[in-house]
Amino acid sequence: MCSGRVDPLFVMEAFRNGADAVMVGGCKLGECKYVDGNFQALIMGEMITWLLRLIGIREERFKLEWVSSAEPTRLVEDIKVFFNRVKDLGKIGVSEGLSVEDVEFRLSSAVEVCKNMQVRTTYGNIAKELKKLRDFSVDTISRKVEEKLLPLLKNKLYEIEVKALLKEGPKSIDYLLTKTGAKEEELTPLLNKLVKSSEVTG
Amino acid sequence: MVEAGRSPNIEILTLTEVLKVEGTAGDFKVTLKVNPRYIDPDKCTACGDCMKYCPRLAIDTYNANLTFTRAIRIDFPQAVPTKYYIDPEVCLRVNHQTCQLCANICGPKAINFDQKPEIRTIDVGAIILAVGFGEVPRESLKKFGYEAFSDVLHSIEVERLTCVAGPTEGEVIRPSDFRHPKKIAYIQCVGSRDLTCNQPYCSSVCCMYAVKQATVIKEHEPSAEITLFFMDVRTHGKGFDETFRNAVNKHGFRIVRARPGKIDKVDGRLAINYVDESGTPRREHFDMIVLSVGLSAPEKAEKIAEVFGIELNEFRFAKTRYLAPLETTRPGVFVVGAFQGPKDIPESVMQASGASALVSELLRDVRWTSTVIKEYPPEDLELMSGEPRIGVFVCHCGVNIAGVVDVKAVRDYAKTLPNVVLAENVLYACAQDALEQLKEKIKKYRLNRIVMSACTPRTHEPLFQDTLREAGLNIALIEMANIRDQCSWVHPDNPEKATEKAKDLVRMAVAKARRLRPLELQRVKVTPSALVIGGGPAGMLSALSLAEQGFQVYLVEKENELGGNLRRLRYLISGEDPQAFLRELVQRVEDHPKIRIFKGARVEIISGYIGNFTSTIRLGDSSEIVNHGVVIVATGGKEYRPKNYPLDGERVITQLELEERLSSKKGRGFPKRVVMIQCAGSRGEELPHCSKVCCVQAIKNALKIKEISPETEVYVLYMDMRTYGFYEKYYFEARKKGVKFIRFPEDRRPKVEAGKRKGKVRVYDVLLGEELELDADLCVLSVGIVPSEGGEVINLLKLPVDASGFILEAHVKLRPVETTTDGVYIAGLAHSPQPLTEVLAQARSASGKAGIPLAKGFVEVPPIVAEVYQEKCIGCSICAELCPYGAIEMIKLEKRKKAQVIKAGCKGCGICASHCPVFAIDIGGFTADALLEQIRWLSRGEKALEVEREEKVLEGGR
Repeated sequence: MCSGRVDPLFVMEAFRNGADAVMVGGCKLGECKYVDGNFQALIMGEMITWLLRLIGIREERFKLEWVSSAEPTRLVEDIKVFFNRVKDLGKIGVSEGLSVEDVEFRLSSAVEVCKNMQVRTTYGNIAKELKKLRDFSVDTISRKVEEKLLPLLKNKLYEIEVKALLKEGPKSIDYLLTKTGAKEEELTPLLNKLVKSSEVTG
Repeated sequence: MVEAGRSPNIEILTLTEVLKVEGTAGDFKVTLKVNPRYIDPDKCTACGDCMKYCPRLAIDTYNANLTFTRAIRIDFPQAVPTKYYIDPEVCLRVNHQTCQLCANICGPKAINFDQKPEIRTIDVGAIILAVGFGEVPRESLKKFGYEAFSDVLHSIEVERLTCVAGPTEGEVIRPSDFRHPKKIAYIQCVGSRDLTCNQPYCSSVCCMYAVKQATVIKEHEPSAEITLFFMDVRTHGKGFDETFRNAVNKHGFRIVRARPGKIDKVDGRLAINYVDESGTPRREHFDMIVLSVGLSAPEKAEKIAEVFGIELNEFRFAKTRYLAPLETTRPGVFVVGAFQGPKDIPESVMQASGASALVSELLRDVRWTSTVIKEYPPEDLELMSGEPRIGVFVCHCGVNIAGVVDVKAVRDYAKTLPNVVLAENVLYACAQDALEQLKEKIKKYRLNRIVMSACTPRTHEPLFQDTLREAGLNIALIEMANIRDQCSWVHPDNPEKATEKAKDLVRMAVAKARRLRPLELQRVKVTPSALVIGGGPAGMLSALSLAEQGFQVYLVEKENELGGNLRRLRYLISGEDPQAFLRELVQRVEDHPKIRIFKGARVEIISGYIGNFTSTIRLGDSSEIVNHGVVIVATGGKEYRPKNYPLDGERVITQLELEERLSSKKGRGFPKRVVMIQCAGSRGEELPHCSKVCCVQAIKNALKIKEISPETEVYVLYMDMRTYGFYEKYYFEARKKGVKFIRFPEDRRPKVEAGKRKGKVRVYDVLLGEELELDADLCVLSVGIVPSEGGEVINLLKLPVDASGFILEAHVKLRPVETTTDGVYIAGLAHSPQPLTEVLAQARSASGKAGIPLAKGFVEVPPIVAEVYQEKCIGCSICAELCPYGAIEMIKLEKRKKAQVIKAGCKGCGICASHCPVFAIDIGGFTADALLEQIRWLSRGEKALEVEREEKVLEGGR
C-alpha cells in the first residue's frame, strides 16, 4: 500500500486503538512508484504532527520514514531507533501527564477531526495546491499547513471536544480548559458562538 | 525481475549455458546445457535453514569478494527465482562426498545431490543477447595501486560497501583498519580511455555513477571530503548535468581535472601524484582511493560470438551498424544492453523493448501460437456472496515460525475469532500438496475468505491467489498475516511475546478479511491501431515497426514532407549514408499498406484512454476523425539559435550549416582556419541542458574538414569533450589528425566578433591560464537542441515536461519511453537530445511498448483500482486533480458533478481515497472500511466491536 493511501484518520485510529506510536514508511522521496504518493504523505504527516501537538500528545510518537526496498538493514535500524525513543516515552499519556480517560477523550476527538468534511476539504486543497506548484519542500508544506489547515484543526477540535463535554451537562470554563488543553482566548470565541446559536446556556 | 519470474510465458533457465545455435531467423534450434542447482526449486521455500547450517565458507562474489558466504546460498533476498542454490566449486558434498548437513536439515526435502547436467534443445524464432559487460583488465587497476595498497578499492566494491544490504550494512570503511575514511579520491577512466591497457573507448556511465556513489558516501558520512579526478565530465544523459551540478554544490565535492599518475604510500598514507591544469605537479594525500572502473566486453566475448555466429567489433563488443543498432551481423539475433556498447540503465531498458519490437515484427505471423494462457474455473458467486466463512491457516514454515511461535496456540486462538469456521496448522503452506489441500478445504468447508498466517505477501501472495482462483474464489479474498518475517524472525529470543504478537496479527488479518470484497478482473478492448505524431526518423520508424508488427498506423506530419531533421544530415560519423537511409525509410513508410500518412496536418483533439483514443486530425480546411488504441509522440526537436553569438549564416554558422557546406565543398578555396565553439548557448549559458550530440557532431565535421582540406587549421573550444562510448575513437583520431582542442571554463565562455572578412574568437585557455585571440575564417557554433515549437500535442495529452521542455518519462530507468498516461509513448528528440542511432533504438522501443496492448487486443485493468460511491460524491474534484495518472474525470450525473474513475488508467495508489472529504472514493482491496477495521482490532477485539456497533460512519459504502 502506497504511503499516499494512508489517511490521517488511519493514523489517529491507530493511536486511539492502543498504539503508543505510529510509523508510516514509504519509498525514498523522489522514488515513489506512484509518482508523488510519498510527497502527499508528507502533508499527511504534517497534519498528524499538528493534531498531536493540539491534543497534547508528544509528536515524537509519530514518524514518517523513507526506506528503499533494497535497504532492509536500514529499516531495521530506523525501527529500533524509533522503538527505543518511544519506549522512553512510555505508554501513551504517561510522558504527557494525561490520564487514560483524557487520552481516550482527546484521541476520540482527534479521530472526529480527521473525519470532518471541512478539515478534509482544506487538507485536499493544500495537497492540490502543492502539486500544482510542484513544491513539496518541508518548508512550503509546513507553511501551508500552518497557514491554512491549523486554524481549522484548532477550531474543529475544540468545538468537537467542548460539545462532547457539554453533552454531559453544564461545565465550568476551567474544567473545559483543562479537559481540552486549550488556552482561554482560544475557547472564548467558540463558546460565544455556541451561546449565540443557543446550543449552550450559561 | 519479479514480473518476468511470474509470467507463464517466460521460462527462466538459470545456471544454463548455450552450446550451439543452428538455423536461421524465425527458425533456430538452440542446444543448452542446464547445470544442476542441487535444489529442487519447486520444493525450496527459501526459508534459509540450509544456509544457517552449511559449514563451508565461500567467497561472496555477489558482494565483490568483500566478504564470505556459504556454499549453499541465495545471493540476495529479491533474487529470481527466490530459491537457494549450491555452489559446486566449494560444496563439501559435491566435491568430497561428505557433509550433507543441508539435505538433513531441509524441511521440504528440496536438496537433491543426484542432479546431473542436462542437455536440452529448444526451438526459437529469434534470439536476444543481453549478456552484459565484463571486468576491465587487471593492469588498468594495478596502474593505480590496486592490489599493492589495500585502501585502493574499485567502484564495484564501493557500490557494495555503500549498499545497506551489503557486507558492512552500508558503512563505508576502508579495508586496512576498518575505519571511516575522511579524505576520499575518485579516479575516473580506469580501464576506459586508456590506450596502454587496450581500452581506448569511454565507458559512458562512470562519471555519473561516481558522483552518485560520492553522494551516498556523503549521506553516510557527512564529514567526508571527496575529490573526483576527471579528464572530462561526461554527464550527457537526460537531466544528468543538473544532477551532477546539484550534487557537487550540495556536498562540496572537489573536481580536479587531471589524469593522476602514480599512487604512492607516504608516511603510511596514500598519495596521488598528478599534474593540474596549469601544469604544476602535485601530490596529495588520501585515506582511501576509489577507482571508477569502466565497462569491458564480456570475458567470453569470442566464445559467445562463435556460438551465436555473430561478429564482434574492434573492442570485442557485438558488432552493430549505426543505423541498425540492435541487430547483430546474424539475422534474427539481436543485441541489447552493455554488450552492444557501454551504456546506462535507461538506454539498456530502451534497447530491450526495442529488440522486443524487432522480434514482434519477425514473428508476427506466428504470434500467439505457443503462448500459455492459464484457464480458471468460473467464480463461485453464491459462495462468495454469503456471510464471511473464514479459514485460517497457520503455517509452521518448518521451524522458521514454529521454532519460535507457538503455532498451535495461535491456531486455537484463531478459532475463537468471529466468522472463523476453520483454523488449522500446516507444515509448509506453499508446498504443492498443501495448496491442493487448500483447494479441497475451500470446497469442503465452504470457505469464502482465507487468512494465510505465514510469510510475506511479497513472495507468496500471488501463489495463494492463484490457488484461490483455481478453487473458484476471487483473488481478493485472501489476507496474509506475516508471522514469519515480521514476527518469528524478529523475535527469536522471546517466544512468548512473539506468540502474542502472532495472535494480534492474526486477529487483525481476520478483521480485515471479514470486510474483503471480490475485485473485478476487468478487461478493456483495444482498438488495434496507433496514432504516431511526427514524421521524422523517430515517427517514421515507430510507424513502420508497428505496421510490420501488423497494426494499422496513422502517421501525422505537420510539414508537407516526411523526414524531419534527418533531411539535413549529409553523412554520419560511422561512414554510413543517412540520405540513402532516409530515402529507403520514406519509401517503405509510404508504400506500406498499413500506414496512412497525413502530411501538412496536425492533431487537433485527442480524447479517450489506453485502448480507446479518438483523435481529430486537421488537414487544411478539412478534418478527419480516427480511432486508435495507442499514441506515439515523436514531435521532435530543432536546432537552438543562441542569442549571445552573432550567427549570420556566413562566417558564423552552426554545425548543421557547416555539414551542408562540407557535403558540397571541394578542397580548393577552403577556409584556412575554422574555430568551433562547443556548448554555444548550452549547459547553463542560455539552455540549462547538454544536448549530447554536439561534441560528436563537431568531431565528425572536424574530421571531414581534415579529409577535404588537410592543411586547414581546426580549433575546437570546449568545456568537456563528450565523445562517449565508442565515439571516443573519433576524438582520438581528430587529435591525431591535428585538430586542436582548447578547454575553457564554464563561467568564461568564448566571445565571437564577426569581422568583415575574418571573424575573431577570444577564448580563455585553462591550460595556459590566459586569454587567446584566434582569427577565424569560419566560426562554427555547436548549438543545442530544443523541443520543436508548438507544444499543442503535449498540452492535448497533458504530458508533464522538464525544465527544457522535453517530455518526462513515466520512470527514468524502468519506463523510459512510456509517459504517465497509459497508452502514450515517446520517441526521439521530444524525449531528449540524442544522436540518430539512439533515436532509432528509441523509436523501436516505443513501438515495442505500444505493440503490447495492440497485440493483446485488450488491457487488463489491475483489480486494485479506485471506485467512486457516486451517491456520496460531492463533486469537489480534489481526487481528479490529485490523481498522478489523470485517471479520474468529472462527469455530469443528473445535473450534478461527480467523479468517475477511468479504470484502465488507474494504478491503485489511493491518493484519491486518502484525500476525499467525504470518503466517497475507495481503493479495491484497501478500502477505508477494511483498513479501519484492521486497525480497530489492534487493541482488543471486544473494544473494536463496541466501536463498530456505536458508529457506522464509514460503513456500507456500497
